[in-house]
Order: sequence, then structure tokens, then C-alpha cells
Amino acid sequence: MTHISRLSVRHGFVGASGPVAGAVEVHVGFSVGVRRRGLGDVRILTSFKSEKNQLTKKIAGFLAIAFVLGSAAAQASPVVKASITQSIVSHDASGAVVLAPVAANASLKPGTVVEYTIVAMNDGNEAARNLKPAAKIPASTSFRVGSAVSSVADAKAEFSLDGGKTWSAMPMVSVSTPQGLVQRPADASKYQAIRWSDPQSLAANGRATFSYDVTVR
Amino acid sequence: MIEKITAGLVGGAFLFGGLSVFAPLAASATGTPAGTAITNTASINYTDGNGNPFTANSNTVTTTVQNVPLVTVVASAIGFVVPGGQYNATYTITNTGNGNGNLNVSFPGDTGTDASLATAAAYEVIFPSTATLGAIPADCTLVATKSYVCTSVDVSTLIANAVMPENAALSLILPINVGNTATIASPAVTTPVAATVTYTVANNVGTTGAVTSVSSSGSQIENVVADSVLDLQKSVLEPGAAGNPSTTNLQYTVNASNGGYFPAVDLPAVKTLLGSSVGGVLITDAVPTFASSPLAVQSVTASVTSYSAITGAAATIYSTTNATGASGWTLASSGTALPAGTTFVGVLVSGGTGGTELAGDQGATTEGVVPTAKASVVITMQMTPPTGAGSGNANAFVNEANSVIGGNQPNPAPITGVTNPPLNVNGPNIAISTASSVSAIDSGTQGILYPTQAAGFTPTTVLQNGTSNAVGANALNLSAVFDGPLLTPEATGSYNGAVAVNNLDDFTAVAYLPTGFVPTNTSATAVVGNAVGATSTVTVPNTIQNTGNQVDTLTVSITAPTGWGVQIYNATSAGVITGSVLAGTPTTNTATYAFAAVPSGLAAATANTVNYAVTYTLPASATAFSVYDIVNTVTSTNDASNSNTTHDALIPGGPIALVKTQTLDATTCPTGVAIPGCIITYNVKYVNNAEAATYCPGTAPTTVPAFAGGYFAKGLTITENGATGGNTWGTTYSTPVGSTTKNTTGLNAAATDTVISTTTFPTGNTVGSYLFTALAGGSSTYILAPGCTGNIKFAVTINPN
Repeated sequence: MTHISRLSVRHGFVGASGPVAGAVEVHVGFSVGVRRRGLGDVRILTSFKSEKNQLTKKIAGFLAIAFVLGSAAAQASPVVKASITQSIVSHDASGAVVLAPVAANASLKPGTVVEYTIVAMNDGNEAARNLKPAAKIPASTSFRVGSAVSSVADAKAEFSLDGGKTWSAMPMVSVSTPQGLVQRPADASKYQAIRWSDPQSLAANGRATFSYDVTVR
Repeated sequence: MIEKITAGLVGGAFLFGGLSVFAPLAASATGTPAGTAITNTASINYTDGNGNPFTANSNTVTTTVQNVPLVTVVASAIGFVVPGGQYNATYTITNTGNGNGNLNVSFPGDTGTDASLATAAAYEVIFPSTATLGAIPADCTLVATKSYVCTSVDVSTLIANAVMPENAALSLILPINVGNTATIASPAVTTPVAATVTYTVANNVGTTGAVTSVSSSGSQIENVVADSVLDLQKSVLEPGAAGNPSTTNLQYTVNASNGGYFPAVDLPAVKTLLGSSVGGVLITDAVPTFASSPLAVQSVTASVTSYSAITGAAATIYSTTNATGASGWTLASSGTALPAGTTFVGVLVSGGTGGTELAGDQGATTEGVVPTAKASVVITMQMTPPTGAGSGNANAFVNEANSVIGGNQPNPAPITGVTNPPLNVNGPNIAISTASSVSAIDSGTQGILYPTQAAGFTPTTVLQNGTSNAVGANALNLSAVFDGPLLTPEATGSYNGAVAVNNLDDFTAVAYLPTGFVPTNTSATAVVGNAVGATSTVTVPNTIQNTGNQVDTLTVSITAPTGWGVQIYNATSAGVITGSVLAGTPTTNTATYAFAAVPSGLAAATANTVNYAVTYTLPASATAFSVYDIVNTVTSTNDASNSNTTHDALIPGGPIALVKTQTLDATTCPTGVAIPGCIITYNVKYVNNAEAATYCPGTAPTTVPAFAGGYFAKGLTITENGATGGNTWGTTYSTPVGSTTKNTTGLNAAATDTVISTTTFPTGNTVGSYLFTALAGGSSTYILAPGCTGNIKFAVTINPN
């Protein structure tokens, strides 16, 4: 039995040409690889055309078709996609948090607060289990305590001081005192990475978000 | 479960998700260096239903760190500086931004915000090795690869320019001279040094919102403190007072301490002045004077207490009889009397650590307030109190200790072109910043009294540092008062002749004749005067005197017989009332008045006395020839047990009474009845009734005391007028003859009573046809002492029928 373990878009919108405004025809080419464990990929090639403002919709519809075909052709499997975005955190006059996407080619002053948002999408036909999204606390930044949130109930943030070797909700460090080495909570500026442990599964077609803030040092 | 964590792994390998490793970043004062990329990629681990693991990596997001130019100007730590001193304002100017910056430093002015400050004639700039120097100002000279000194007159222009990497700092050393008028205990703030750093926009750094230039400034603050300042406190104890072992000497104590901030240094000029082998700190004390003469100094001791890091100092005693203390200093022995006429006592403190004698106590003492517990030097002097009028007055003699002390303000390390100020000498009457090598001792600085004090001075704090509080002292209080007849308060007498002659029973006898009153003796055998018949007044002047040694208030109190009136007035030296009544009424028999603050011992001798007059109102029942004795008492306020009295003896109608008697001759009047041919002898006895007969002195005074004038009858004339119109019952039988009982020696010893007839008084004349006048006491001097009597006799023969 053919088992489709992974479905991925190898190439995006390849070959798109010409303006999309107006009633124009756009030719989009892409391939969808269906990996069958031990047998290599199965490649499906196709193309379509679309009119203005219908491009995304039709592409999405086409992909759905493609995935359905893939699913029909393979066994049930979770397919989780990960994406990350960054936004500048500020506050309006009322004190409400305002998120502004970081523009291309932008630079940030030290002290700027950046929110990273990780989006997990399960495009597979099976729930993804033991979901553990993770990301860095970039070296030039410091984690903002209490900023880790998730759309998944009970998702617990953990941090690593050693590049991901070990994790803890409250990393400890050994501090030398007159009484000897004692364990104390590490300063958040020492955090190098963050991850969430999700006791729940991410259902097929499920979507979950995870975000945290850092301050540019 | 907490996993084992090792701290300090920032920058360690990132092991999950196959992500790349980030190296640690260099620390920056502001933060991440400009242009640093910040990237992030997420990964998601998960499993399928069979437990197969999967990893999904996200896209990568990237941004960069923006320029943040920043510069800080930090002045050196707050220091301490003295008026006239100098310090280096050292500024550290740092590019604390997150990139290379072009740093410009300027100094907007050449004076500080404290008007007493002024920049010295040069400054120095030291750049970091990583700096790329810009243009060097024209008046600057490189003294090292990255350092130059500038002899700038106008530092308002650019003084430093360089491109410096982040965290690099340059130093600006700016010597500041502190003016002599700088206020102690207040901060001196220099004009801010301004710095600007300019960044170029870094590559791949967005320009939106980028700041390329910022400025900052900073000021140096110094605390202005007192240099070495000799605080002195002087005190005095009266003889016998607690703490003074002597019951006869005054004990002066001078406590000294360096109330400044810095230790005092030895003054070479002290060595010159004293002729000593070493220099040091000299504390001088002018010996108090009274009546232009210094008190005798019986002993001087001095001790030094070391504290802080200065030890080894000792005290040596000197003295001089020079009027100004400018010369003549000789070594004296502790505890022994100093030469007569010593004008100044000096204590040399020398031998302290490193040529310093007294550690600064940094304000623990102040001028005139140096408690013994805080004193570094204690000088104790025993002096003989003066005598004489006024010596007991409060603050009869006032003086203070004062001295000079070597300044020891620290100087900064000089830079090229800048000279440190010299060490100072500090003391009264010495201008700030007077170099110790120039004028360490000035004669005018020793024993100066600030301000010049007058009698009645209340000790106050001094006006200049280096002087003690002024101390006033006086001899032990000796109160003495006298009350006596006008201008003779110390007179002696015996108001009634019975008591001993002394200054308590002196008296003023006043014989007076009330208007319209004829004093008449109403008895044939004794002196019994008739009543005056109406109220009468008589005024008696007296004088009180304060002969103590201090100012005193003398209270005069008078009590007259009941029914009298007493009023007290001021009086002139002639005994005439002046001014309004001071106390009493015509109807009250007592009066008291305090003559306040009668000075003693002052230049005007007359100020020691007060003349007063008492007006007595006698009732109508007062009788002739009676001596009414009223005691006036004066009492010292300083010493209520000290009082004196005088007596006012008032004699209405005068003291002389006449008692006329007749005696029938036994032969011619055998039956004791006046019959024709009977000879009747008349005796007119004249009596000075002022005192008892027993008083009549057998030895007369050679001069008549003025105060007793009222008792001595002068010009006593007795006139026999016979009968008005004459009579026919008899004829004269004998010529009147006197036989006064009077002085046998002395003033009127030679005088004899004489009878001078205005007409002849031959025997055989009709009685009343011939009058006579008897002059008691003789023709040239007519005095009848109190208590003395005399008789005039004459006889008449009764005519035959």
C-alpha cells in the first residue's frame, strides 16, 4: 500500500508573469511531491489560469484538490507547517498593545520590543501529536518575562539556557555564595530559546499560534 | 523536574531544529552594535499516531539593529577644595552609542557657574588609542601620541575632535582655580563641558527614524571647604569656682582645634618669631588688662591631644612683654609664674607627623565653640585678678585668644603650563591665599580683640577665624555703700552724742523756723518747746556712694515718725532739689527709691555718688527745740547685706532754748518773799538742746564739721528786753554777767561770754529802762556746741514802797 508520508510544495508560484490587474490570464506552474516511504517521490505536474482577484482563491482550491488527491493516494498522516512573523510592539494612547509588522529592510533601535509569532498548521489528515514548537531568543535580544502565550490551552512555555540541550519552565543557575553553590532562577536575559509543550494534539487542518516578545539589546 | 543547567552558555550551540549557531556579541554601553542582524526561525517537532517524529521548520525573519549614537560626559568624583585653592576638573567623555562616532568636545565658557571659579591657563586632552584624532587646535601641543596640552585663553572653541569607536573614552583635564571669595560649605560647579557625537548611517541599516547625532554635557562639582582653621574657645573661671583649683586666681582656659578640613602645616615664620628650633602652630593669648595693666600670670600649662593620623605633636610655652607681641618671645616653664608685665602667652605646637600638627576635624568645632572633648590643644592659665574700683564689674576685662595656622590645601597634579597655588597661612586679619612663606605671623594677628569691646560687653562669637570667643571676667564682687550728709557720704558722726562716732551714725542736723512760728520754752525749769501749730516742711540733702568694685544699684529707704510725710528727690551738689519727686508723698511716712546702676571705679569719680534730697513734712504737733532723728538707709543690690545709714536730725525752731529763773536773796528777802529792798537775781539759761547735756564736749573740735552745723549754735545772742515800756518795781542791782558752760579748749576756748548793753546798765536804774544783749561764746566766735549750756545773770532790787 502506498503511504504518503509527506506532502510538500517544492516550488511556489513559478513562472508567474504579467500584471494581475484586470482580466488577465496567469499561468502558474508547480509540482507536488508525494513521498512514499521507500519508493521515492511521486510527482504531479499541473497548471491553471485565473483572473484577477481570483488567483489566490483558485490556487487554494487547486491545492486542496491536490492534497485530496494525495490523501486519497496515501495513508493518513499529520502534515504540520511552521511559519514565523515578527512585529514591533508598541502601545497607543490608551495603553493598548499595537503590533506593527517589521517592514522589509527595517532596522530597530536597541530597546525595541519585537513579538515573534509562530503559526503551526496541520495540513495533514491526522492529528499531529506531541507538538513542540520552538524558536530562538536571538542573541541580540532578551526575552520579556511573561510574554509567552499560545492559542493552545495548557501549552506550557519552557526555556533553555544551553542552546536547546535542556529545558525548564524556570531554568536555574548555580550561584556561588558564602554558603556554597546554591540554585537560583536564571535571569531571563540568559534565555537562549523557547519552546512549548502541547499536551493536546493539533488536529488535522488545525491551526495553533505561539508568540513571545523580545527586547533588542 | 528541573534539568541541570549550566549558566553562561549564551552563544552556545543551538541544538534543536538544526538551526545555526549565533556567536556572542561584543558588549556595548548602549546595546547591540549598529547593523547587527537579528534573525529567527521557528521549528515544530511533532509525531504522528505511530509515534514517528517529524520536524517542520519555518521561514526565517530578519531585522537589523539601528544606529543609536550616544555620548556621556562624566566628571570626576566630587572632591574638596579650599578658597584660593586649585583642582583638576577631569571629564571622561565616552562614545556610549552602538557604533563609531565623530566626537566633538567644547567648553562653552571660561568661568564656572560659581563666580569664584576660573579656569587655569591650560588644559589637557587624552584620547584613547583607538581614536582617530581630528584637527588639533592651534594652541595645543602633542605631549603623547594621543594626548595634547593646550594653552588656551579662550576655550569656548572646539577643544577636542576625534572619531572613536563605541565605548571609547577621552579624558579632558581642566585645572580650575577657586577664588578667595568661594563660599565654604557650598558646592562649586564648573560650566558644563559639552560633547556631541555624530554617526554615519551604517550599511544595511534602514534610515527610517535613525538618529545620527546627539549631544550631552556634564559639570564638575567640588565641595568648597575650609582650609586649616584654628578654632579657639576661651573660658574663665572665677577664683574658687568649680573647676578652678585656686581660690585667689582667675583660671583662663583656651581650647583649640583645627576646625578646617585639612591638616595644618608647620609655619616657618613661627620659628622666626619665637626663635625656636622648629616651626609649628602658634596659639597666642593676650593677657587681659585692667586699668591698662596686664594681669599677673601665675602659671601656664598646655597639652596636646593627638588624633587622626597626626601624632607626636607637643606644646611649648612662650611669653613676651612686648606690647604687640611682635617680638621679645622667650621660653617659659610650665606651671610657673611668667615675668611681670607679660602681655602675651604663646603656645607652640610642633613635632607632629610630617610637619603637620593638627588634623582637620572637618567641622566638628567652630570658631568660639571648641568643647574640651574636641580640643586638640588645651591651655590653662592662672592669673591674679585685679583690684580697685570697677574691677568687680561684669566683664571688667575682656580679651580673646587668637592665632594663625598653616594652610594645607591639597593641590592637583599640575599639567604643563599650570602652577599650583602656594600653601597658605590662615588666621585673623590675614587675607585668604596669603602664602605661608610670605607672612606667617603679623603682629596684628595676635591678641586682637574683635570687635573692640567696651565696658558692659556681652561675650559674643568672634568675627574671623583663628580667634576665640571674647571672654569677659571680673574680680570677685566687693560691695560697699555709704550714705551720709551732702557730698560727704563716708562721714562719721554720732547723731545723739551717745553712740560711738562711726559712718552709720553720721547725721545732718537741720534747725529751721517754720513760717510765723515763735519757738518758746514753756517751762520755768526745763526745755519744753511749744508746738509749731501747723504742718511744716524741711528738706535735707544727702549723698550716697558706691565704693564697691562693681556697678551696683543703691536703694535708699526712709521711715519717718507716724504722721509725717517723706519725699525723695534727686539733688544737686549744692543740695538743691532737681527734678520731680522720685518716691514718697507728703502724707506717707515712708519712701524707698533705687538709684539704679551706680557705677563704680569709672573715670568720672562723681559718678560714684548720687546726691538726693528728702523733703519731710512735719505735723503741727511738732514742738520747738525737739530733735527729730530720722534714719536714711542705703542698701546694695549686689549684696543686700551691705548697707549704710545716715541720720537726718530736724529741729523746729532751732536747738537753743532759754530757761529763765529767779532767785530771791535770803538776806534781803528773809521770808522768801519779794519785799521792798529784796534783791532778785535772774538767771537766763541758754541751752543747745540738740543733744543731751552729757554730750557737751570737754574738748571742742578744732574745726566745726559742716554736717554738725545744725547742732552748733552760732551767733547766739540773748536779749533782755525788760518789760515793755519799763516798770517801776525795781532798780537794777548788778550788771549782767555770763557764765557759759562751754568748751574749755579748742575752737572757742578763748572766748568768753560777754554782755553788751545797748544802753548803760548801771546799778540803780529802773528795771526795763536799761536793756542788754549777751553774746554767748565771746565776741568773735559764737558757738555753742550741742548739749552745752550757759547762763546770764543779773539782779534787781525791789524798790521801796
